[in-house]
Amino acid sequence: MKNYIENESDDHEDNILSSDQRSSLLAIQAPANLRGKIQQRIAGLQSTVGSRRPGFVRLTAAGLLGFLSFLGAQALVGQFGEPRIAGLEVSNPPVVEVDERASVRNHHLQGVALMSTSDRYLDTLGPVGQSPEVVLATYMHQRGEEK
Amino acid sequence: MTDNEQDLAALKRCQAGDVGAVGMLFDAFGDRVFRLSLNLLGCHAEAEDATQEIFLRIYEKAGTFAERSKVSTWVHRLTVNFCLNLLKARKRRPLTLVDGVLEQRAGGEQDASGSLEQRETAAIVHSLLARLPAEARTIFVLREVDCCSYQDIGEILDIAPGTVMSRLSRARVKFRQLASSSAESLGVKVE
Repeated sequence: MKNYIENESDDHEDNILSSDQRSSLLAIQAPANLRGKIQQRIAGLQSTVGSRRPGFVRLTAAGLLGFLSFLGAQALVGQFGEPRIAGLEVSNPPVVEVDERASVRNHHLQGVALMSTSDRYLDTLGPVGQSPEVVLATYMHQRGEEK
Repeated sequence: MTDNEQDLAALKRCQAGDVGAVGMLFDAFGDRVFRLSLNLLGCHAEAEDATQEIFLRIYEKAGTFAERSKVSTWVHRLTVNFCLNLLKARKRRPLTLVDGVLEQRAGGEQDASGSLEQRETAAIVHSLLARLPAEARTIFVLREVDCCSYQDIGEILDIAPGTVMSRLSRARVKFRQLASSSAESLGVKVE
């Protein structure tokens, strides 16, 4: 570093700007109002940041609420959605409880299958693998036993 | 308390959100930052805008100052980087004609720094600086105008002192060539 300093002292003799030229450049001053402008800008910046804060909090809260709602909806769909077995999509038809007095014959005529459970008869709106006749016979048989 | 300690204290106040501390830093470095910006950018309006932006950065980045150098060196580095990025982004050099500088001055943009003679001399030097490549201009101004040491210039530009010397030498040669080519009309001293 000493060498550099020695070189620097020699180096000043190599300066190519005259003292007048250098002093003319050194005489340049910042505009008088610049100091105030800068302080104003920084103060403005701070107030902007401050006023944004509540809005930001509201936005964040709304976003969080929305995200939680989305997660809840996803969970509900997972719980009550169609069952899936190892990638095989099983499509169960909707099941509707049947009024016991409803006409089995009508169901048979309409080609709508009946599916029995332990304590009630359920009306399926799609094929269940049994022909309407079989379902009807089963139904009649069970009704007879009950009587 | 030394100047650097005072500057450091002002920086810490900036970090704490004290807007008034920026005024203190401006009192210490405002003229230097503006002058360096003007010497590098060659346009008064751009230099004024740049000075504002640089002090905003000083305020915002006060917490990042690692105290490995003097505050003045850090401020110089911020200024040089900002101006060089501006020049790079705009892909142009500052004003290249003396007439252009003089016309701009006559347009009322200039402040009343220095006498009329000084302002005219400064305009002539600016016209020569404007013809130097940005890198050469930067190192030339830091040394010839601001009288920074090689070590300080090295820290500002993040280069070794030896590199500072070689680049400065090339910048001087280039400046001499420019000056000699227009010595009579511009009145620049050529040794």
